Amino acid sequence: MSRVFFVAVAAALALPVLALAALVGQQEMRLAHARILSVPLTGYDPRDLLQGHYILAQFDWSWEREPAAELYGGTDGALCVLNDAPRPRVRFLRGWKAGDRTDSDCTLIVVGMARLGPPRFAPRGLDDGYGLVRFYVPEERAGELEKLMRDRPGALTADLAVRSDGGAAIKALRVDGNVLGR
Amino acid sequence: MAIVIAEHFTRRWQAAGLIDDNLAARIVAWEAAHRRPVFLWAVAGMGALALSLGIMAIVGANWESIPAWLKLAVDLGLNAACAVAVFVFWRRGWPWRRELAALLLFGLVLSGIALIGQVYQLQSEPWRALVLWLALGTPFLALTAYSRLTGTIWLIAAVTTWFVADAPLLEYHGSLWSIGRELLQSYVAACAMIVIAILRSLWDPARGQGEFMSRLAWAGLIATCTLAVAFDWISPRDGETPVEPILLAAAVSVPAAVALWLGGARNERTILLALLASSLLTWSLGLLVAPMRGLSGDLLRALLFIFYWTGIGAVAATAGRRGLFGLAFAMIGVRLLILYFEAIGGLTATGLGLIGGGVLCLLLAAAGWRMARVVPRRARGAVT
Repeated sequence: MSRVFFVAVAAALALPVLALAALVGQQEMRLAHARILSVPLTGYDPRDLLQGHYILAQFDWSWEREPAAELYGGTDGALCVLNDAPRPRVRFLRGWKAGDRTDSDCTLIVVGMARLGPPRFAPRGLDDGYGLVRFYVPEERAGELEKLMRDRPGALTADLAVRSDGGAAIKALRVDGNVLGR
Repeated sequence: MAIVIAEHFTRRWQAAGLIDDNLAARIVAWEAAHRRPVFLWAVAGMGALALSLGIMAIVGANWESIPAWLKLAVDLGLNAACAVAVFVFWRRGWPWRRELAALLLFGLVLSGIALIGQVYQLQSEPWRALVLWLALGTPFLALTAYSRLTGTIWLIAAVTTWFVADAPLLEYHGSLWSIGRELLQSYVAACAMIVIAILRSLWDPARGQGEFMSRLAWAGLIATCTLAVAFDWISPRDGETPVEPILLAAAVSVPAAVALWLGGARNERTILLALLASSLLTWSLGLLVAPMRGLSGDLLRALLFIFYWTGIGAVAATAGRRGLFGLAFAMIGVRLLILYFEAIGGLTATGLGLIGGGVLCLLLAAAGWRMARVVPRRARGAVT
């Protein structure tokens, strides 16, 4: 057996392990250099084939005014966060792209898509296509969390890690302020 | 099971005086020494599959009591340990263990991707996870796993990924996939698998695996073309013509034809190329006659079906594949019977149709019996 083939087999076997470790590293990097924005969630218990149970929720923003979005489909842009407590006060910047000027009163920019009926906004990469976001939750608590989201709005919050380019990732899901599952 | 069947036939031939006691004993001993435990392979394969699915289900349960870092560390550790096991088994030349460990690693990689997606709440579409899984799993499977079982599982994984990834395909060029999308996806997948299987069979250690994958790919292609002319289930919108899908099908048939010509078995090249061409023709005509409804449409589809399976029967007869020849005959018989029912109505007519269809099937069976006798057996080596 040739040395090249030997090395190729070793490399092919190392590839998945290294790639998975790199994926973990990449996600940790994304979270480490981001600012955290806590957003309440409003609200079923479906299951994803690979990742298990999830709840489907939308971010409960405090809109300064209704976003100037298309009635059908969504409108790309960004959310200008005016202040972040207790519920982020926000304004939609229609068509905003990285590098565009932002309003002076914006403390943070989150890139994504706004929709109407009811007005909602989901960051790019988190949007399920309808302005909703999936949160993977423990199997035995999925029903309870779903009910909690309906009965006590604001009890469930998400920590959004927002990078300087406006990209966002979910850092944690909290129940009454306590981090769930991390 | 194989040894039991071999012993059964050996005893039968011994009782008929065709072979003597000494030869019978030698045959049974040889079979025992060279047995291929297909059932054990199947059970072991199911075990590896169940293990992988079990790990995936545990990941899916999303245990909140275990910290995320610990879950990720255990998962990475399991992947690393399994990769080392595959390497050791491959180095020592232990085929059973190597194949099963490789399958287990294949499953663990998918579990790892799912776990990372869950822990970091990643929202990407399932097809992205499946593409990443194939990209990470294919290299080590290609280099270390040569069994038919592994080849079949990889093929199922690849085809599943291809079908799950229909959303980006529709986004990329929606009109291309608007008529008979599933049929086009199946046709493209089958042609791609024919190429992959032929390339795989060029490498000596994986020859058997490649040849088996090739059979599966051909079965997929024939099933796709059969479905294209079996029913009136494709519903194109008014004025839509399937020119783009037919052009794409023709384009993907070219690499399959080149692979067949350059890498296929020399004695089967011409007939397989003829089968590929007739498959493309049948598939395309199936799409072209899709808008036709009523009796004329049913008759046209039935004729295409019968022509296609007649061609398969002819290929099978030329190649000496009696099983496929018999299947072609049965398919034509069933289609003719269905045609009878499609063409008639009312109870008396149904009764007459049943009698006519029954007679037709009996005549076909008699003709098939005679023709099967004249189909030569496929040459397989010393014993034919």
